[in-house]
Amino acid sequence: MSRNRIEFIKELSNQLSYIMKPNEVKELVDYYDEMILDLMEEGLSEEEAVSRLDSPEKIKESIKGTPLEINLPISKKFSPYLMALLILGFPLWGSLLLALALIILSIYIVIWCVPLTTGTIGFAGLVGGLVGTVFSPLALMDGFHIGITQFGLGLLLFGIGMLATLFTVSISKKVIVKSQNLTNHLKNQLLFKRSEKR
Amino acid sequence: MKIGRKFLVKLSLSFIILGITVSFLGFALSGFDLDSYKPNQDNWYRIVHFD
Repeated sequence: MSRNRIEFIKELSNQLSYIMKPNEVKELVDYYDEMILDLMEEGLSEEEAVSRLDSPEKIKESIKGTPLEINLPISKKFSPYLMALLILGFPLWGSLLLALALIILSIYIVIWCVPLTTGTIGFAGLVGGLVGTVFSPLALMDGFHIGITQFGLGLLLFGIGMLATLFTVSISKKVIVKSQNLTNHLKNQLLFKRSEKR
Repeated sequence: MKIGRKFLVKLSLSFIILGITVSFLGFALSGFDLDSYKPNQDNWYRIVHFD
């Protein structure tokens, strides 16, 4: 059965309201709504995006009995031995943590370097093209052929700049989605998996 | 007239083709002589440089 986004959200809220608190329902509904919008941004229609997700009944079944908030017991006393061990072990765990953070940062840099490069080419092309074309009448004073060549090169640069800018705009949308997915994946891997194990 | 993505791509491709044609025309007017571009080439308004 194909539903549109609003119908799906209504049905999901309805199903979840039996087993969860209103604020938890809102959180989950927002999450699924965002997922639908992400899929639609990737080019799927509303119905196709909804059909990719589980049905509200299935979601309800899978969530039953899984608390959204996990209250971890926090020991009020912090052992001085543990503190000493943490401080002494800092060169080891600190450098490993730093390496992990830098690897994650480098992944983001690699992902973003394509739109950054095309954006730079686009900006330089647009500005250079505009300057070249506007000032070509002045170059005419140095020689007719110089002015004509500068005018032509200005147009060429402007065209390249426009094309690069359009490419940057279209690729940036995809890169934003990829970055969001990567962030969610890392968040799930690093934060939630650890709490599941406990 | 709706200015869409396709229109902008076509416009930029037209600029590129026109630019290549006009700059080739300018170069042809110089008699395909790079030395003819060298006088005053350090002026602030010039974007065509040959070292």
